[in-house]
Amino acid sequence: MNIVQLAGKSQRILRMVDGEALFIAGTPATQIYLIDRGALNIVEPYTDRLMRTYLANEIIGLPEVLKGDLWPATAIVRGITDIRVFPAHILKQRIDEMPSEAQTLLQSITHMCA
Amino acid sequence: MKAFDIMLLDQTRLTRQHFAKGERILSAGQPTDRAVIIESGSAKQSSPWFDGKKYSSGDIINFIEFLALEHYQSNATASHPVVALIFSRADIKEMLDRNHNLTWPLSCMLAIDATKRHSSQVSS
Repeated sequence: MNIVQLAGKSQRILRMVDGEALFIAGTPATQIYLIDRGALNIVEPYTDRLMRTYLANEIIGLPEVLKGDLWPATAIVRGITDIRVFPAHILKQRIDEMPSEAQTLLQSITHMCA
Repeated sequence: MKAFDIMLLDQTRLTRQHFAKGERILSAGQPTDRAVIIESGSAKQSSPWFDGKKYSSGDIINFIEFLALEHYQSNATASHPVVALIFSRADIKEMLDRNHNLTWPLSCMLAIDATKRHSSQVSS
């Protein structure tokens, strides 16, 4: 089972409307999100400058969850958007079971997301 | 980035290739259907986001691009004579899958996110 399938098993789906915030900069990243449909803008705190956009079938929050970070930016929904919510602790549990070389590899890639 | 212990790689799957100093090892636009691991020597990357990154023995060249993209976006050139081990995409996936069934998909998802973040930084 790959990560999209794993996250896709989550039955917790948020239906959000244009302009709603999924998460706010400075709050803890305790969940990862899979966009089922719609779009999500990541904007800089204070300036609201658009940093990037995520679309359907894209996952948001893996690096922040793996680093145990706070969200560095705010996520604003564009249009009607369905988002599957997957708890971070389940993913972390799976990663803890992985061999150490795999964990090291994932950490290296995670640091490149900074 | 070292993803594998070079000593543990399946020697039957690889092709060994030699590059002279200054020779291009990977070019932007080339499909990411093969991964290049440096067995000996060193190389330098020039890319839109990680300019000047240096590679040495055991490193996979432009690994993030290999995982995330269909085509390499960076060039890599031998700084010193390089012996490179060439693996197919399928072989790398199989090696990572053998390690753990989440290693390949998680690596790819993270790499996709890394390129998305860095490309948006470059364009701004």
